[in-house]
Amino acid sequence: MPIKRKIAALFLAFALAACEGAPDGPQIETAALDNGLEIIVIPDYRADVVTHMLWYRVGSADEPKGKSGIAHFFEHLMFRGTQNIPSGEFSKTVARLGGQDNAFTSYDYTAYFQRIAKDKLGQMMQMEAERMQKLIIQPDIVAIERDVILEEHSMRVDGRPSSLLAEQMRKRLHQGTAYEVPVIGWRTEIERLNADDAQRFYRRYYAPDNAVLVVAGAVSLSEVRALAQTHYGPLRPSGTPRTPRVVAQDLRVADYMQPEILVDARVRQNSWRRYYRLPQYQRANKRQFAAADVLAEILSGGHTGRLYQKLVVEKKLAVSAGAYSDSSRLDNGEFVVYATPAPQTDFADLAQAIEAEIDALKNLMADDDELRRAKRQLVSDLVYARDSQQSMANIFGRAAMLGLRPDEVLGWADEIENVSAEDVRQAAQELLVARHSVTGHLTGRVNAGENES
Amino acid sequence: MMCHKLIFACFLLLGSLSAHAAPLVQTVPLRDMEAWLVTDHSLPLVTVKMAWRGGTASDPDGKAGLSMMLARLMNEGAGELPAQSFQQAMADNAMSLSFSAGRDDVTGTLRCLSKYKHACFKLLRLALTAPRFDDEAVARMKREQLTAILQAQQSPRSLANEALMAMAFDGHPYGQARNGTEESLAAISAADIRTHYQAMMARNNLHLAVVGDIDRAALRRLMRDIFAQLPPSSRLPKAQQATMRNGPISRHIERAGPQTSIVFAQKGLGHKHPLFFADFVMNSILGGSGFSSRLTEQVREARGLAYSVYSGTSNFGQAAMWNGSVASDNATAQQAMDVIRVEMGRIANEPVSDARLAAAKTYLTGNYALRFDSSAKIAEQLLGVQLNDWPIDYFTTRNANINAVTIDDVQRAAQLLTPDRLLVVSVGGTAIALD
Repeated sequence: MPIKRKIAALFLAFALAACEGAPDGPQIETAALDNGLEIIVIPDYRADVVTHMLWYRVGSADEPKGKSGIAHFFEHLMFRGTQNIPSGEFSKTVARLGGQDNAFTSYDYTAYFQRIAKDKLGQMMQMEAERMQKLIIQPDIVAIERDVILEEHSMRVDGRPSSLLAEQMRKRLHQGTAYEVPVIGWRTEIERLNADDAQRFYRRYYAPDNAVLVVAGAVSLSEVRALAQTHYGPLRPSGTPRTPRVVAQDLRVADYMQPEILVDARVRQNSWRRYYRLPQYQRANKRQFAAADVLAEILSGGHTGRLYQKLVVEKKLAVSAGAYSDSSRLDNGEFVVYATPAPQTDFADLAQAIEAEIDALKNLMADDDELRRAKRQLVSDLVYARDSQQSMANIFGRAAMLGLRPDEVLGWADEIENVSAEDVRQAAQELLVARHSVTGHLTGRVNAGENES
Repeated sequence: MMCHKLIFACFLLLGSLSAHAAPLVQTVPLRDMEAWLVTDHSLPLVTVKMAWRGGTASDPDGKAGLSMMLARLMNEGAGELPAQSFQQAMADNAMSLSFSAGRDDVTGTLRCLSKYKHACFKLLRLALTAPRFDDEAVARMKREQLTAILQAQQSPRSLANEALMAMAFDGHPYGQARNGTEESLAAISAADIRTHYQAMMARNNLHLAVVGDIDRAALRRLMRDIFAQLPPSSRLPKAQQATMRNGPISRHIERAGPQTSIVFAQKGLGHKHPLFFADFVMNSILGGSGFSSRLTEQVREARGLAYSVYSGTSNFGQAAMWNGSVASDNATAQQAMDVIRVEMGRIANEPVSDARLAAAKTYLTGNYALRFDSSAKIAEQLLGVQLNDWPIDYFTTRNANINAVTIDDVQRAAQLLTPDRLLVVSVGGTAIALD
């Protein structure tokens, strides 16, 4: 409440670092098996538990046309039975052993994980290896699971007007590329997914050379490597890396002046947001993305950011406001600016005030104090992240999915420290371009503050 | 990002702990106060969690939302520093200090890096001993809270939960929304907030949990310099005894969309009840252990009626509630609720198998260590045990208590379930019938 720290939307969300003040940085170790499985180990001996994650280089953005939702659907089916583990028994076994498990799917990756006592790590690997190549896809179970996913869709999307708006905005923002389709898929396409679709998807993507093993916790690389060799070592590589995607080079968005407006009687509190499409992250432009993180912090950091100061405290046009840079994507990232308008504020006035703050960052240098504060906060976040072995496993796993090595993650604090006021100004000019954006209005009333349209 | 399953926060901080997995907890007394401490120098971080008994249940008549306002304002200016300067000082020291109001307590959490800890502790002292409650900040936080009230009305789950609490505790402060209403917010002044602060934030109703790069001596200094400055005794009126209403009562709130979100509840048994651990194990088997629970098996895996289904116990200071939730298509919502009620009956009528009980026990006991793998989580556990009035040996006795539960105990706890006398609230397209 009071402080709502921004969500981990920084580039590499909370990379971490051997930064000033920390006794040592984390000692991340890596290895690879002959079949192509990469291994990342993040030792943390504070508790006798481990987080075991298997990340696959496949996400919703890799789905065949017309089969939206299959990546996420398939993730559910991974819990529904293998040659030796009956449907539903995977999670039950983990629980019986005192652990927790879950999985998640995003645009660019799918990950499965268990958190459990260290001495169960080998058994987790055995089970995870089993479902990498010995899954049984039964049509009757597929039909039930499809209903589960449609319920999930109802809960996350149909029941939440803000999700419906986000889907419509992203459809415009990323038009013509894979990110125009939501991760969960379009309802009408989910309804038609079947066992054959799942089988094809499984064969194509679930192989050791398309996966990265991440283990955080009370283990060393040599222990992990030996166990991985036993359990994952015998698996056959597919020899088919994922197909490169189409990445938008021209970032322009059609009709960017026209806001996406969602009027929904269930909405009680209006909200405003804007998504800017970012160029693809590449090593060559990492300075620009580090500057984008600092820029977002200057705009958004807690109650001291410019948006909160101007819109909420001074002008009282909004009740909350913020921004974040989400560039941890394989294709085009997003820079997001959002605000909750005060009851009497119309969307046009709100947008104008927000644009004034963005323009100020494009035209004037941030002052030294502001820059120092933003950088200190970002670098400190990296230290806070080290408190959670699960966050650590997530950070390095996600980075690996984007093709980044642990040392590049660890070096991010230095990239942040090196950002200058001029870098921030340039990033604002180059990244926050109106014609690369889509603006969204969520409202419960037909005529609520719609002056533009 | 889509997930395989939804994680429900357990209302109780009941976990489970493999015997040696709990870190060493020390008690650190100072005058009339006591803090629980886990020292761990492996990361340069300190977490301080503090809670005062009180919470939204102590909001005076007609001023529902007062404790939430107090929580929002505790980091909005103190001493010579008005809100913006205070926030800036926090940012300069990369610290976070935030407060929240539960029904029975107001909790504060400070996180700071060792290298900035002196500045952080100074700001904490200012916040706790000299909060400003300036008109500007009060007005701004009122706008924020009003927005929170409106946002809760657009989430089916929060709509349903608020209606359920209102139904269960009609006439008791537990029945009021924690943020209050537009009217009750309008009635709250800066003077009310100050009075509430002075009455609540004392020493005899304070609980402290401290974890990380800090030792006993440093903690004692912190307690002396900061918490000893608070008044000795809370001046809040004694908490009102709460009686939960009996069902069957079903209430429906119509809302557009394909799905109906359902919450249900009945009286639970509190943590002083002799069957408390049996109830805990029973709930794990019935609906509290995700994919191992019968509700997930029957509602989700076998029939595809829901993405998430849950049941368990929520303990409040003055009442214990057993409750659960499910969301299902309008066409299948009644069926989902019927399956849940059948399962409530089945666990009461048929003894669970040895294997099932053993699996529940190894799940609950093995899982406890996962709640102690970061300093933030450890601090949460240390505070949670105190707020439940459990002794400090809870961390080491709990698993033995779970392991002592028998099949009969589970059945006895299950027989307290009353599937025919539930309180139910549905939000969506289908009203739920209970006959």
